[in-house]
Amino acid sequence: MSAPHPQQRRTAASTSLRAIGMPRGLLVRVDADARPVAIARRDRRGARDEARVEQIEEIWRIAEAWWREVSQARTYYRVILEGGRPLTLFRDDATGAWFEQPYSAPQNAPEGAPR
Amino acid sequence: MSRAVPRPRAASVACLAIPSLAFQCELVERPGLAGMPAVLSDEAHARVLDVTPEARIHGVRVGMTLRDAVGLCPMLSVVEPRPALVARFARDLVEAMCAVSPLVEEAGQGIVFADLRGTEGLYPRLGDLKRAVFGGVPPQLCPQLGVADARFTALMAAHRAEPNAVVHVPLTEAATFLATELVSRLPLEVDAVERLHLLGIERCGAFAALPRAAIEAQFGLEGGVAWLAARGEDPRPVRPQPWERERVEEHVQAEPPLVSRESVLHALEQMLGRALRQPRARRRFVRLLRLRAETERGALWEREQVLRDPLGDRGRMWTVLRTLVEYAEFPGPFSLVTLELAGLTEESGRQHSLFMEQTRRREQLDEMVRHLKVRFGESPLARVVEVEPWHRLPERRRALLEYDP
Repeated sequence: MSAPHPQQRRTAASTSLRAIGMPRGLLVRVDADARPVAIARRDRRGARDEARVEQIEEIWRIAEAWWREVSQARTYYRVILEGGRPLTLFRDDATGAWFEQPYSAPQNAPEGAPR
Repeated sequence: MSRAVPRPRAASVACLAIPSLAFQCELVERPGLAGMPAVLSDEAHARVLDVTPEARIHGVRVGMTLRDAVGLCPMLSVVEPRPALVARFARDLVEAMCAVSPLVEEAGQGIVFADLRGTEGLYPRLGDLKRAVFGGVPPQLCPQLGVADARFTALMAAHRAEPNAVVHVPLTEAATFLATELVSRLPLEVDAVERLHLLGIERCGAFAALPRAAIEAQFGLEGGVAWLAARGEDPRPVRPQPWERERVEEHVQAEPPLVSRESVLHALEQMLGRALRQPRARRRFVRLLRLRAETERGALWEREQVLRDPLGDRGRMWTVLRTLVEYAEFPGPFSLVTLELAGLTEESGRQHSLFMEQTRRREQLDEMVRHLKVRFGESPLARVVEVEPWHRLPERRRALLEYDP
C-alpha cells in the first residue's frame, strides 16, 4: 500500500478547506507493459481483497503543470474488474504508485481562469 | 427683522440654540462661577475650549494652552468637561422642543430644530411659543430661540437672539437679515468657504448676489443649497426621528457605584423587567435598545443597538443587552445606569419572510451546530464549496468548508 498522496498532504497543510475526492492508495499487479492486471485492497477489517482486471476500457494521461519543478503526471485507466465491477485508477508517473479515484469530465473553465 | 407679536405663518421652523452648551451646563451646576474669569478645558486638560467674558478681558482666548491661559490670568478657574452632564441637559432641550412640536431634530450639541407647521392654533402668539419652549429649559442655560420660514434663517435668528429671548424673521426680511452673516456659517465645506474668502466673498449678502448657476458650477449641489439658504430659502427640512419618541426609560441610581460587570448586569436585568412592565411597553415591540451609564466623575458610557427585527421577547432582548455589556470596557464605576427601549411598535411592524419555513429550519440548524460546537470544540458539519470545478485533477475541484453559523 502506498503513502498518502503528496497532493493530500499539501492541501491539508495549506488551507482550512478539506479536499473532496482524494485518491486512495491501491496495490496493483502490472504486466510487462506496466498495465494493471490485478488490484488488491484491504477492507475495513484488514482482510486483503484481490480482483483481476478483465478489461481495460480507456487510458488517458494528465500532465499537470509539467513545466514546473513539482508537476503532476498521471496515467488513468478505466477498467472492468472480474464480476463486472468498473473502477478508475491511475499511476503517479513520478513515483510509480497506484491510486483509486473516481473521475468525471471537468466543467468548462471560465474565461481567464487559471489552468 | 421683527420682534413683534405676530405668530409666524405656516411652514416655519423654530431653532433653540445654546452656544457652548458644555460651558453653560457647568455654570448652571456651579453658579459661583458666574462673573468670574473661567475657562472650559478639553478632555486632555491641555487647551481652552471656551471662555467667559471676564476671562476674555484678561486676554484668554479659545484654542490657547491652559498653561498660557493661567499665565495671563492667575485667578482663572478651569472647568473640566463632564459629558454625562452635557448629555442630560441636551436631552432636556430636545424634550423642551417636543413640548411644542412632534417633529424635532437635534442637529448638534445645543442646537435643536422643531417643525412648527400646524401648531398655529396651539401657539397663536410668538410669546406663547417662547413660554412653552423656555418652560422646559433652565434659564441659567441662557437659551436663545429663533423662528423663521427656513432652517438656516431660524438658526441664525437663534444665534442673534439675546439670552432667554426669541427673534422672529419673516420670509420677506430673511435675505436682508442674513446679508451680514459670514459665509462660514453657511452649510458649506471648509474648502468651499476658503475659496470664497480667496474670491473676496465674506458675507452671505455678497454670496446670494452671485448667480445660482455659477455657484452650482463651482460648488455643486451643496453650493446650490447654501445659495438658497443665504437668501432665506433653505430647502433642508427638519428631519425628526419619530420612532424615537415612543420609548420607555428605566434608571438605577447606584450608591455605592456599580464596580463589577456582574453588578451592572444584575441592575440591567432588573431594569429590563421594569421597563417591559410599563403600560406603554406592554404588548409592544422594540426597535432600539440604548444603554447609558454615568460615572461618579461625570464620564459618559453609551451603547445602542438598532434591531433589524423589532423584538417583543424579553429573553432575546436580554441576550442583546448582555452582549453589549459583556464585551464593553467601562470608564469607571457607574453611579447612574439608564436603560431605554425606543421605537416601540406594534407586532404588525415585524418583518416576515416569504420563506418562513426555510428560515426556521436554518435557525434550527444553526442552533444545533452551536450546541455541537460547544460539545466537540469544532463544528462537525461542513458544506461543499466549489474551488476549481474546471480542474482536471478531481481532488482540486471541490472542498469541504466548516459550517460555522
